[in-house]
Amino acid sequence: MISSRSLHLTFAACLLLLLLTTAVAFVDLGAWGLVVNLTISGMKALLIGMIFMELKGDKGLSFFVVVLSFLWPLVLFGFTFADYLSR
Amino acid sequence: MTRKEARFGMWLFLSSELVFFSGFFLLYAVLRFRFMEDFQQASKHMYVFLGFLNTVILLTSSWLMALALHSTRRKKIFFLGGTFFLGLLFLGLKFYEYFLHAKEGIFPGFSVGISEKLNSGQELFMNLYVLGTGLHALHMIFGLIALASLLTLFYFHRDPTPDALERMGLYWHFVDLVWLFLFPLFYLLGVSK
Repeated sequence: MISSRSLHLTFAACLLLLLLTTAVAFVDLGAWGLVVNLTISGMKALLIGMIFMELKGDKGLSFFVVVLSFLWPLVLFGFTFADYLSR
Repeated sequence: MTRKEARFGMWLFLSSELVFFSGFFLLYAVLRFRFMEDFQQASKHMYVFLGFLNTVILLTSSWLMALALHSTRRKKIFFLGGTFFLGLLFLGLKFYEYFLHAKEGIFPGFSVGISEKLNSGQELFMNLYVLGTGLHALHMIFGLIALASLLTLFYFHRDPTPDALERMGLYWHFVDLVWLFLFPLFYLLGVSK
């Protein structure tokens, strides 16, 4: 079980990360803007997944499903862009 | 059903949802790559403040949902009620944004003469915007229906099982996660341009 203190901290961290994404958007980073955006969103997703969705401490079958779930999008994006960028 | 089984089943479902949304994000990625300039220009039509506010609303609703899971019965009703209210508020603001876009004459499939206001790349951006946020809103509506039924059960003292609440929570957080990616990809793209 996740303590309510962790839940509060996660919420605060997500709000801070949201402020950060929005602030960074005002700076023109060129192609790096996307990388920064996705990294910050990924960090928020990780926090929500681990704490709010209680994946932390869940080392059972669910965790296995979550990890495998990312395999398919990886294949989808990997193969599409391997084709698209080499045309 | 044990907690473990409930979580496993729900994660399998969310895994299929991830595949579903991956298709959308792939479409976005390929078209953004192809029409980068147009996407940045079209993104200027987004109401960044409303999008930001909606992100805060969703994050808060997720926080309340997480708090509801392990709290007492009374607090559960309070937290779930809060989540429900914030979900409704999110949808209200979302549809208000659609209304503003329709008023501007750039809402795809609804605004006549949209091609005179936007070029083809910008129109594609608007199509993707409505497709992505629309699919997300649809998920929110299903979530709110499920949440309303849980709240009704609590209200009539026919408390749902703990794993029903757990599954509800997982779904709600997942829908929140999708929005966390939609927000920067659509709203923040043209801010610095």
